[in-house]
Amino acid sequence: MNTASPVSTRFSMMARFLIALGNEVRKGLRFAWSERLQILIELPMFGVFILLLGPLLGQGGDIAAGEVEWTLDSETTSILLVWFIPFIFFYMQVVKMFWRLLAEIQAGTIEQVYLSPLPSWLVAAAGRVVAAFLETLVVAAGTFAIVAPFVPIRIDWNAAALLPAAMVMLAGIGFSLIIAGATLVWKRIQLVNDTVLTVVMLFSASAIPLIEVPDWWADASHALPLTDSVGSLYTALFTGESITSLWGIGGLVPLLVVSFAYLGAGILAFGLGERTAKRRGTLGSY
Amino acid sequence: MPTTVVDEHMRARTRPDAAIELDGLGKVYGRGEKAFAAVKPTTLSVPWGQVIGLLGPNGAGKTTTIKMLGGLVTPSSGTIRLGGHDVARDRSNAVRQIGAVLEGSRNVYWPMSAWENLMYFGRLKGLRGGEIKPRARRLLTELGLWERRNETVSSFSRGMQQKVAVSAALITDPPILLLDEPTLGLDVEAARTFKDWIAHLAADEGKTIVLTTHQLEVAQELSDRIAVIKEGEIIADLPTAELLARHAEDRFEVRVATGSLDVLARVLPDGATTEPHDDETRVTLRDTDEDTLYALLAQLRAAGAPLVSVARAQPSLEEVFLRLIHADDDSVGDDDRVGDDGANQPTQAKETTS
Repeated sequence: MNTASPVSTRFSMMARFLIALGNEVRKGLRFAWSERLQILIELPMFGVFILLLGPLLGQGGDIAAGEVEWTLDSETTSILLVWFIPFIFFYMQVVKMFWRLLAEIQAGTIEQVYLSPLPSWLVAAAGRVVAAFLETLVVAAGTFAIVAPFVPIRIDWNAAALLPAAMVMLAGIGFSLIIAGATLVWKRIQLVNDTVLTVVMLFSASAIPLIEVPDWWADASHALPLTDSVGSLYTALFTGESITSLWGIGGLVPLLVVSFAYLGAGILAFGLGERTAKRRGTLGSY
Repeated sequence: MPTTVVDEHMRARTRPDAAIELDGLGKVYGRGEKAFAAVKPTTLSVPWGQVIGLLGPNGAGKTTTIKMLGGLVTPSSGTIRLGGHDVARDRSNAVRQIGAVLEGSRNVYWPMSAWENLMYFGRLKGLRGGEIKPRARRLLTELGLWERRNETVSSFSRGMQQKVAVSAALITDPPILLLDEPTLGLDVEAARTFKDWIAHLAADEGKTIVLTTHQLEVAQELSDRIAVIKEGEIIADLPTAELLARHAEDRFEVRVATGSLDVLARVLPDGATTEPHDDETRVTLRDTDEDTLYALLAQLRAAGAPLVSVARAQPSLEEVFLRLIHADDDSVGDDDRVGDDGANQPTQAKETTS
């Protein structure tokens, strides 16, 4: 006779959940450690990109006239960081998820993962998301640390920025799940992946006052996952205004709706990709 | 009335007679004109502790069947029960019954050590560290990997990597083991070690094993029962000894020293085949009675051909397999399929024997 109480059963389920999550995180970080050299090579590139972009952004006319001033403006670089670090986070989350999953499909280990009695969303998705998340946090912090010694970064850190920061993460997780679901079905989708990431980066730039974009561009950029998060971050960290304004770039409504929509779409897409791959018998095929 | 997960638990509480039950299991890939039946609806029952060899040419449906058993491929029709648990309705408990080594896969993580792999797969299957460690230690010790447990799997030979894969599959001590081409790519010594290990698992630990392999001598040695699949359909399913016996024939093998070829050409009866082998020639006489054999021996003696040996021979599993695979569908005997004594009853079989 089963004498386990509902509380102990719930505790046991929770323990199992945490063990499984920790297991995947440990594996992800173990792989990250084995790729530490690549990460160390990548890190300065992000910093260099920001430092180079700082003097060039918005100076098209000067560049054409050959009169670029190579000075690092503190305000511009600070705003660039607020745009680019969320993007790095988003980019790394998606890219890590894609390549790790593809590597497991190529190696065939993904099928062993699916032989787990635990729910597949836990072992195949959640663990990877958390591992990529932790890894990406390190890279984003590293990028900030590389840029900061070259230019005084003037950001008014305040708690209001936590909401858009959380939404960046939520949208990143959602989008990485969409990519993961598509990877389970179509495998080599890195071109699509890279194209979409570039579009996300370009359109999210409309949320910061360094580039002027046409209205249609600004309107369309709401549909992409980063724009309103970056806009809201800019509002919180540079303008001293409240982030509770409902509409416009960085408005509360588009920020929450778009971020949660991407998370929902990601969960849906991953489940759909998984079902399709199992139906086609291509879960572990490459 | 539809069954529920609770019903599944109740059903599984008393151990069912069969470890694996397939009921009308089938898989069709594609749709419309492009539809292709990889596995035709099959009903099969594997008792606990039995080693069943699933044999067939490439594309016959073996791997699809194995993957459907593990829930990695969704069947188009039918049901699968592992230890009484329905794979579709009670996946979690069903997959707890199995460990698998899949063909064409690494099965384990090469950048991680053997120990890390076993810990990872143990946790992945819901065990705690304290439960995994003693078992991992025992498995690695038995397979001779204990001293190298902290080395990354990528530095191991193919045979050692395969041992880690089997250890990972066994880490939860599952009663059913699915082995898809487990000796593929192994050298002779590694394959032998592996074969011995599988035999040990079956004989000493009572594992139910589904084995697919193209190495038919391995299948013959290890399997209690052989199921031959052709174009997605089981065309033969019998205990190994019985399958061989049903295809037995009056056959003799005569070995004469090389250099007797001229003599052989003159005296060989119709249907005899010769095969040069090192410093001798093997003559196989099929469907031959003893009178014909003695007549041939007399002729060889008269011609002065040096005789090496004479033996009564039986077809190997490989020969039986090829005969079944190349036979026309109609000529495959219905009596190659076993009946209701705990074995196969293909839904499409024209007739089964009991």
